[in-house]
Amino acid sequence: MGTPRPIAAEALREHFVSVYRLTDEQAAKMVKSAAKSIHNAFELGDQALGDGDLEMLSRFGHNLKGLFMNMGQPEWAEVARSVEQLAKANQLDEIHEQMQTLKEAVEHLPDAA
Amino acid sequence: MKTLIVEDDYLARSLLSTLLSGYGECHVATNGDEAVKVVEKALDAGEPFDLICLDIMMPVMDGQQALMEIRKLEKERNIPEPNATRVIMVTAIDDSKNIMKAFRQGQCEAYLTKPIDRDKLLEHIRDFGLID
Repeated sequence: MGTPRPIAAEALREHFVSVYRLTDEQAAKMVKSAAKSIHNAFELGDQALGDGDLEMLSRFGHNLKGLFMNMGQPEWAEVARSVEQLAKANQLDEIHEQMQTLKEAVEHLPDAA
Repeated sequence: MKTLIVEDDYLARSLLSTLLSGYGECHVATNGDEAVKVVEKALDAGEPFDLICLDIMMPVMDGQQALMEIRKLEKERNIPEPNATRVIMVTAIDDSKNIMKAFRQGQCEAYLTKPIDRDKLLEHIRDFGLID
């Protein structure tokens, strides 16, 4: 399986409208909430990676997995899940690579980086 | 319906609040410890929560521990089981071990896996008799 495509804000907005039957205004708020969650998650992930903290990296992968699921992004959730598994298997080098891949997921989302 | 949403993730909190705000007041907590304190305060004020949506993996105090503490608070106040707060555990889809633990201990009434399913959420709340 190749790397999934980066997440587009418009696709995300449509996801919240169609799956959760939110109004346009509510969906726009959810897109902002998603960006904030992603920002918080990567802040934790980057710090954990810098510290080589595998327990925290596992938590980061777990949190991001749930976040991507709620954003309607199961393929990206699978990449996040791999980080959770790699952290449990003490494979820090591979996590560095996956972290870069994960950042591609959100590069088109405003305020997420 | 008075609801407490316990989630460390901002989007999940926002989403659950948005989905449930039409049915009554929604309060939020970002970890288990905060949730236990909010629940205790509500019980002491005589205004307990009808529903708690409780994430399992959270910092400070996880959902399993928080659930045990909440049930302990209810027991200390002699709240009969039919009047106890209904609790829905929320967790990742591959976290069945944690869900089974909560059920085995007989302390939660339902669970939801992420992604959050709007219809299942409302179905559970209807089954509890909290909404029509």
